[in-house]
Order: sequence, then structure tokens, then C-alpha cells
Amino acid sequence: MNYSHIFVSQAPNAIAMFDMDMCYLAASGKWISDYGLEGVDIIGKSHYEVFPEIGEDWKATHRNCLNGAISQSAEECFQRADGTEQWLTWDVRPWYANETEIGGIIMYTQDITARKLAEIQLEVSESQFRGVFESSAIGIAIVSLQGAWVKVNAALCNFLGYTEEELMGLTFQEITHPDDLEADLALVSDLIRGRQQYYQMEKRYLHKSGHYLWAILSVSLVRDVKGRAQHFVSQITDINTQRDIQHQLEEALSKLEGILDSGTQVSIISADTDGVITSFNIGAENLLGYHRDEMLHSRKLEEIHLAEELEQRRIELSDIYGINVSGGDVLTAMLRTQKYETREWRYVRKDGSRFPVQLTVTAIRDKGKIVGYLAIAADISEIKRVEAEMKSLLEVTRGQNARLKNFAHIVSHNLRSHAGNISVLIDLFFQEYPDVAASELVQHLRLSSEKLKETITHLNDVVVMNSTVEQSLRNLHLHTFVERAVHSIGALAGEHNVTFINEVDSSLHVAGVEAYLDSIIINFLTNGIKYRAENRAPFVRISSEVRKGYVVLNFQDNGIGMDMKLVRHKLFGMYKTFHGNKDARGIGLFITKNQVEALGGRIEVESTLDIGTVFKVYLKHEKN
Amino acid sequence: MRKIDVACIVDDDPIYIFATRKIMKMAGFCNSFLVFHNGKEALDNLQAIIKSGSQVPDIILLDLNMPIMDGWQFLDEFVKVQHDKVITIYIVTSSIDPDDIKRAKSYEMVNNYVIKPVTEKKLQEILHDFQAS
Repeated sequence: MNYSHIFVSQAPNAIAMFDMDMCYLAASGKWISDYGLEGVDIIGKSHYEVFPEIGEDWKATHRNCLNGAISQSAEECFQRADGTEQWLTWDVRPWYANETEIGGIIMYTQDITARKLAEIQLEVSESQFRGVFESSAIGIAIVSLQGAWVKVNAALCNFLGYTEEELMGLTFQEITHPDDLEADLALVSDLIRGRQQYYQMEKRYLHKSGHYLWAILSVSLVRDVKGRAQHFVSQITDINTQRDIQHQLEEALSKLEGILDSGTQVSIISADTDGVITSFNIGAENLLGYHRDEMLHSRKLEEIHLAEELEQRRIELSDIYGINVSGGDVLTAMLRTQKYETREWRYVRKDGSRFPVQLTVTAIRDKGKIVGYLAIAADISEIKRVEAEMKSLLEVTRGQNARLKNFAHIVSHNLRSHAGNISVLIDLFFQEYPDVAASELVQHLRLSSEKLKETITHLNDVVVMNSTVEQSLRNLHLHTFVERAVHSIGALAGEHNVTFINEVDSSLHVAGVEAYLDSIIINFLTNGIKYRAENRAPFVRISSEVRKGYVVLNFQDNGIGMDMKLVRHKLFGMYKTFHGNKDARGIGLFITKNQVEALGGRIEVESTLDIGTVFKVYLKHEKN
Repeated sequence: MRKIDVACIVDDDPIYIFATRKIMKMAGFCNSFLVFHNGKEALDNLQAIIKSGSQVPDIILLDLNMPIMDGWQFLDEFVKVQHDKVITIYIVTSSIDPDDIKRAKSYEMVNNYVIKPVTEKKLQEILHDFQAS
């Protein structure tokens, strides 16, 4: 009996021996420590006294066992009096005092709480993993060592265009771009041999519809406890959008580089936000004489400018725009509010010489934020030189014109003074010495004086005439003006039996200056009198017609006419006379033509010798 | 009816002065003449005359182009000379420059602009205007 007590008390497991009244006969050290009974004298005490929380179901089990039953449980949870949970594996069976008589029960328990908690935790993390796997936006798959898709998530199916079943019938080798397969397989091999813990690569997968897609593949290898490779876990991330953008960027950059280097006479310099030069093209090297290695990342944009020009611009900016800038920001200050700025500057070459440029500075923005500047400049020396030359030519011409005008006025003024004196003196002479008036010599003197005065009057007309009178144009009633002119030279016409026929439409108005219009009409009427044919009843018919914004005033006569082949090119010249007529005024048509042109019109002429002449005067039609 | 007592000619051209005096006499234009050969001479003498108060001209026929002091310079100085008598000024010139004509109109004391040669007819018109004023 004692031996069995000793056996029990020294057993390595948690084991206790009870009598028929459920009082402790013996308990192992493990039992005592498992149930927190250190220092408690339990031998001889009832189990139910030691653990008052033991319920009726347990007591029933105990009773069954005291009657010969064996009760076992792989795991059971107990709520202890202190509130903690305890997971136990247990075995309760009777012990026999002799062949037939039961002496009590032996309880064997094993505390499996730690193992049980670990199990529970594993379950939780597995379900978490499943959740991640299923709902992940990234494609995740378990792949066999041979490459078969063992388990795939929805994101992966979606990305590759296959259903789960279809994908699981394939291997990754079958849907990898041929150019990427070798690299992938090499990495797989490294992984299996344990050279790498995982690998990552950019590769192309074949979409179900036949096109390739870019992805980042991350693979790790799962091994069993013995270190044998089991399967791969692969993550597949879609990077097509990223690839597209990168591709566009590369394309843009290569184009830009092409531009940068092709412009051998255009300076293209980029700078960062501090103005430090970050690129310097061949054109900039050619124009400025620096090598790009001298400039890149060390010199600033403003260093190729003239300090005084920058300072002047700085003052301008602060005065005009109220922008306070430090020296270095002068070139870029305006770009805070506008996309680019174009101005003329002078650049300074490495050797200190200067040349004018037209410079456009553009802000390079990334998502609205300025990340740098691009300064594109063209050498405008030649343009500037030509501009200066033209300016000086214009200055010379302007001076010459002013001198000519001055000269014309002086000539007309001085001639006028002397001619005026001569004519006055002759008049006085005739008054004082009336008896010499009959002398032919004095008659000729007087005639010459008259002619001189007349010539000077014409010259004055020419000198005074403005090339344009647009600002003083008025709306004039044409019929009235013709009527007035007919009346004013009526006496002269009467002397020579010339008839004027005014057929001008009395509804018409033209743009004109009164004095000019009077002079024009009188000139043509006077011509009609002067060049009348003596052998027929002379007339001048004045008629009008409207033609494309103009009123055409026709002066038609039946006079002696002109041979247009001979006179066409000199008809309107200064001092050209075509008839043997004694009082021919060549200047008349010249002045008339200029007056008509000053009014924005023109003159056409048709004439046949011994039939007559038609002058067509185009004047601007004013609608009333 | 007002009659011109003293007429003043300011001109550097002796032939013009000779002819004009002759015509004035024939036309009975005025009682006496004052003749000056440039603006400076006219200004200095007229200032003294106005100060003394006798022989102050009723009318001045002023040329523009003259040596020493031209007609414009004379006008600019003469407007500053204080005088009680109304003095009518005619610009008499050979200049037909529209700028001169426009400029003459800007002087309040300039009555009119006469283009040479001065004939008896033109003097009669001036006389008529004077009498009407």
C-alpha cells in the first residue's frame, strides 16, 4: 500500500490517488504544482474540499469510476475559481485493493493550456491569412515547385483574365513572356538551392486575351520542418500604368535631349529652383564659350548676365509690379504668375564679350510646383545690327525730308517775296508813268511778271498739298459743287460758247475737302474750255455713276482730244503741256491728280484725237 | 469814322517798304508811318514811344522772317509791354506755311494774316476792317 503511495507521489506526471470517500491518499509533485497546491496539506482531505468549484457532473463521473468505470477526455476546459481557463487531458479510473474490491480512484491529468492556446492562435492567424489572400488587391498565389498554380486569389485572376479553375490548370511558365522566362527560372533555382530567401523581378505575363502585362513578381519559398522545399508563395503587382508613364517620360526626355543638342546656335540651359545650372547644351557652349563641365551644378543662370541689367530689371520689377526680389530671382520672379517670360537681355561670354539675346525663361512644374527653370536664348546680334542700321537710315531720311520741306518753303517764300515786289513795282510804275504803258518792252515785262506770279502760285499749291487729308474729310453734296463751279466760270465759258451739262445724280455725296473738290471740278471744266474744238459747238457733260464704293464723276467733252499713245505716261506730270495752246497749264492736271489721290480716289482718262476726252474721277462714295 | 493816324511797318525788305509806303500814301491809308527793319528795333523803339505816349501806332504790319529778332520773337516780347491804346497787328508775310498761319491764330493781339504782295486792294480791306472795329 505504501509503495503505491510512494509511486504516485514521485511520478513525473500530474497524478493523484483517492480513497472511496474522494480523500487524497497521495499526489505527485507535478499535481501539486499544476493545481497551485504548494504548501497545502491535502493528504486525507476531500478533493471537493480542496476544489469546492468542482461541479456535479464531475462528481457523477467520480462516482461512476468508484463503481468500476474508466473515464477519459482528450481535452477539456476548466474554469478555475480565480477566473482563469485551464485546458486539460485527463484519465480517471478505479484502483483495486485486491482482485475484486475497488479501493478508490486514480486521477491522471495533463495541463495542455499552452498547447491549446497556440492552436487557437494558429487558427486565428490562418483565417486572417485567408482573408488577406482573398481580399488582397495584389495578386497572391501558391505555386508548386513545378510551377503549377495551386491556389490563386481573385486579384490575380482578375489581373490575368482567367477564372480560378482555368489558372489552376496552367503553370507560370506557360504564361510568362518568353524573354523573361529564363531569368525567372534562374531565380527559382537559386531560391530552391537556398541561395536566396526570396526574389523579386519585373516581368511580363500573358493575359488570357493574348497581350502581355507588366508586373512585379515577389516570390518566397515555404519549407517544411525538415527544410524540404514545399511550395512558393508569389505576389504579383500590376505596374502597367507605372510602366506607361515611365515610357512616356523616357520618350519625352529623349526628344528633349535631341532638341538640346540639335540647336547648335540656340542656347538651352536648365536650372534648379536655386538657379544652379543643371544642363547646358551645345548651342550654349557655342554661344557662350564655356564647356558644360565648367557650368553644371556649380554656376548659376544669372552669372551669364550683366549685373547692371539684372539690377535695372530688379528695380523695374519692384517699381512696376511691387515684386521685391533678390538679385538671383530677377530672371524668374514673373514666373510665379505666368508660364514663361520673354525679354531681350545681353549675355556675357567666357571671354567677357557681350551679345544681345532674346531669352525665354519657362518654369518647369511638377503637379503645379516649380521644380526648375528652362532658359532658351537666341543670339539676336544680326537682327539688332540691321535694326540699328534701319533706324539710322530712317533718321537720315527723316532729316532729309525735313530739309526738303524746309527748302520748298524757303524757295516758295523767297520767290514769292521777290515776284510780289516786282509785280507791285510794275503796277506803281504804270501809275506814275502812264505814257510808257504803250511801250512793247514794258508790256512784255508786265506779262513776264504775271507769268512768274502764276508759276509761283502753282508751286505753292504743290508745296502746301498734303499727301493725306483723311482726318479732314467731310461729306460733300456732289451736285451742288458741280453747280457752283459751273456758275463760277460761267463768264469764261460764255466767252467761248462752251455749254456745261450737269447730269450729276443729286442724291450723291462724296468724301472730300471743299477746297480740293472745288479745285478739281474747276480744273476739268477749264480744261474743257481750253481744249475745245473750234469747228463744232463745244460742250462738257458732267455725269455720275456709282461703282464699288466710289462715285465716278465723268467729264466728257467733244474737244480736240489727245493721242493717248503719246501722252499717257506724261499726262499728269508736273509742267507737262501737250497742246500748242498758249495758256496751257501742265501743272493743273498734276495738282488735280494729287488732290484726287489725297481724297482716296483716282483718275482715269480716255481720249481720241479730234473726237473728245473723258476724264473719270473716282471719289469715295459717302452714303447719306 | 476812325482813321488810322500812325501805321507801323516792321520788315527787313526795303523794296517792300518802299512799295507799301507808296501804296499807303496813294490810298490815304494813314497820316504817318513808323518803319523798323527788324523785331528788335521795333520792340525797343515802340517801348520808348509807348512810354512817352505820343505817336503810338494804331496798326502794325509785321513781317515774320527778319534778322536779329523775327516776327514771332517780337510778338512774344510785345505782348508783355503794357499799353493803353488798342494796337492792331497784321502779320504780312510771303510764308504760306500752314504751320505759320496756325501759329499766328494763337496770338490774341494778331488780327489777321496777309500774304504778300500787299496790293492797294488788300490795304483797303485792312482799312475797312479797322474802321469797322
